[in-house]
Amino acid sequence: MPIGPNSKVLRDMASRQAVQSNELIRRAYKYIARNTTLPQRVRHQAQLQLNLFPNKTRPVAVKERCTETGRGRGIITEFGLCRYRFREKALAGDIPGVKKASW
Amino acid sequence: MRPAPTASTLAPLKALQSKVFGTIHNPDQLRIGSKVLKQRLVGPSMLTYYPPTIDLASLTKTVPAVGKLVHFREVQRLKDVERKKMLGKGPPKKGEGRRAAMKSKKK
Repeated sequence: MPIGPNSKVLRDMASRQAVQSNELIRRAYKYIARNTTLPQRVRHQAQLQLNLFPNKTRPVAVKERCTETGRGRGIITEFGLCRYRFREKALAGDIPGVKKASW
Repeated sequence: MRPAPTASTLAPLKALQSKVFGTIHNPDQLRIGSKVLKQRLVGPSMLTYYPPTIDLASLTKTVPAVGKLVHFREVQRLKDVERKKMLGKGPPKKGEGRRAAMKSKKK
């Protein structure tokens, strides 16, 4: 297993940081843009400002990746692990409350 | 029994109610964007998703001994490579490998 996060995880970390630091100002612009009682011109300008933000500051740019391997697909959100690491850890008994089904 | 109050008579009461409790008064149900302001901020919880990583550069600055740690397996690997080289089993030089030999044969 790699010691540090891989480049895609680093990218995701940067995106999370960007979202956090720009969230308040983005929220303010969004409020103005979505408020139908404000003049159309102001709303449009707010929307243009929103469009100027870099892509990684959008909350949807943040992706859930496996916190241990960095895999981007097959993530079990509740545990933040990819399916395979989840299986390994669950079978090893490292995830409390998770048990292999048998009936 | 008195008749139930109508919506129009209740309107000033509703206005006063939102003033007292500090809620948003929007009787015409316009889109005033309060939805955007009411949503919680997602940034702080996003930052806690990954476990904290160790910053090796700052760690070695505070504890210089960390930079001098050796990995036993890596040392062993280098030793093995050295031994193989001594026995003449090192990697071939450029143009002396199997692929280069095949290429020259073809021509």
